[in-house]
Amino acid sequence: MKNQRLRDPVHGLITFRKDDPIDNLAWRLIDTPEFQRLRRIKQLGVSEFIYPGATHTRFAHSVGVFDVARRLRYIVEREMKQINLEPDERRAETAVIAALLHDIGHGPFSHTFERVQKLRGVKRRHEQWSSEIIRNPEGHVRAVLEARRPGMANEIADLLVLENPTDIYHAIVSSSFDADRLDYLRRDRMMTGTGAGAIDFDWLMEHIRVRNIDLDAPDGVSDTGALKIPTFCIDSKALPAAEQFLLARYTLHQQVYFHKTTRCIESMISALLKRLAEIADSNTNIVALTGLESDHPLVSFFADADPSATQYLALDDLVVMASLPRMARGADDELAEIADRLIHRKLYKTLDSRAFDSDTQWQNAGIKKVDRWIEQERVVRIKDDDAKLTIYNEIGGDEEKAHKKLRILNADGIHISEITEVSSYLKDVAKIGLTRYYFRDPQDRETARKKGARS
Amino acid sequence: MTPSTPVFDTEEFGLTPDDFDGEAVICDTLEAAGGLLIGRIRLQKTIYLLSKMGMAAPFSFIYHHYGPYSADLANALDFSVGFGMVDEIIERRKSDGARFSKFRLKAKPKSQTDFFNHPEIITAISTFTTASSTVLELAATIYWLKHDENCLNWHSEIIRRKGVKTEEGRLGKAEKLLETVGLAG
Repeated sequence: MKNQRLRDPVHGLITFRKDDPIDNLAWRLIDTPEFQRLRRIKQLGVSEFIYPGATHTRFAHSVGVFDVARRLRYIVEREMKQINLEPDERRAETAVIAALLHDIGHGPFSHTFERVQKLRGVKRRHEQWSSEIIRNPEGHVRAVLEARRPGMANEIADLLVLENPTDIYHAIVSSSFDADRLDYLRRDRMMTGTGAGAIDFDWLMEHIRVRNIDLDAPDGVSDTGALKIPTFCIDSKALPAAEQFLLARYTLHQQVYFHKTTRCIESMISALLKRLAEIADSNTNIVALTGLESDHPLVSFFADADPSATQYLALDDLVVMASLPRMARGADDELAEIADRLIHRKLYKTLDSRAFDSDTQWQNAGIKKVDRWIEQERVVRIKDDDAKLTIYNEIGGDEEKAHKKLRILNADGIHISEITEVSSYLKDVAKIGLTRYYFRDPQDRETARKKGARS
Repeated sequence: MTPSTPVFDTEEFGLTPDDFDGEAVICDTLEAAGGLLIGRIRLQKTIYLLSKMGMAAPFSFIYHHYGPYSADLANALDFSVGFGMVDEIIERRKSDGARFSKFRLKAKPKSQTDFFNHPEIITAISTFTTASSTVLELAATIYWLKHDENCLNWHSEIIRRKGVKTEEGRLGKAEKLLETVGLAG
């Protein structure tokens, strides 16, 4: 390979040097069909309906993550030298390449597709799909990795499904300052045009340090042996930049990821795909009901109880969007109606529980009253109560992962603190918990609004 | 047990005890634990394992970073705190200042369950509250892999997912915990 270059709006010129084995490997992986598919999966799904500039893809993001991961690798090595540890070339290569491939298992509309699978009771998550795609003996990614080093495909796949760090190189892929976060926060902010929050990237990178942290969840009940692992923390000199980093993330969630119209469209796509899956599952009249051929990639995937990596890789955003006109002409009323609405942007009507009252208790009481009415009357609606956020968490989960909490290295260079302990800004950042309903019939929304209102 | 737990007045909000079935499960569990449970992870895994021991619970679980996790349960916990049935007290770990929550029962909706009247259930809850959070996470994950994912090679799978957490005897302790509460099969 000769020297290769990609221009990127976030990182500028990203170069792949012919004399660098990791760059060489990355370039060959980028050229595989599995990686090229990421061009057809948008990073922010349907956010472009609200933020028209947000058309950037998982492909651009993944290349950006690779660029950041290369920089983090040298930070890891700088920090290892400080404590007289020898860098591990092999682990470094595994981590940087894992960062490049970390999103290879995303389905169409990413988290929306994952939600559909959860609703269907499917246990396989996108991390497991990443692992299967990388290990797939018939795949191109595995062939490239094994040509570089036998066993490398399994090493990368293992690292991506591993939930807890084993060494400091893992922090490149998963930590409070992992390559994924350091790319997507900047990229999403830039491409949506949201001005709020700022990320002082170079200053943060300069002040990343490595220290051991407790991996056990904090709960005051002692274990026999405390579990310590090394991960990134930030020197206290960069505390203001670290605060801004978390606030930028929080603001992006408020303004972009949790935008009511985005969530509404995502919910409608979920409902569409769930209905399509039900029809495909039943295996009767599929073509007439859905308007799709029996070998259409969506039908083929949903009809199979144990779909293969090849079937999964045939799915992307374009496949879903291109199938809408045909689904709109299918005989299944529910499927056709949602497809038609998505084509013409005739969205369901949103009701936010904050409309019930200004007091949270009465908002919650309103939610319970509306839920009861919906159940009794079998009202057509979608309920969305997954939009939750603290300064760390996005949605769900018991606690944020221990190694993803942002820690500050105190001025003594020894002790570390969780950032909310030392930041006066972040101590009181409110937890967000939104509950919204999306109604097909605007009259139902009005009835729900009255049912839920404080009486 | 705290048999004198005040009854939460659902009528004040124009609701009935039936509207609080999820919150009632949380409050009953807290009451059986002596009125206090420490940590969201512990609460989630305790209720997951109790449901596998026969407790009726209106929650569906998925696999998450710390093992089986229910968003419905997390929502019901938020509602329990929001309605004032449960107090959430925030504390910090000494070593690194990491926050955690203590949940203290204050009032509970009327419930009909007699699940907690059995001594073996009280013993099980005591086991869950005294185990380390990591061992409890591993125990719930073993059960999940075996019975929810039907994973035949659950042993290698849990090591693959949980990594260092399974070392230094923790996985063995988790298996022992499941044996103690009759969920080892």
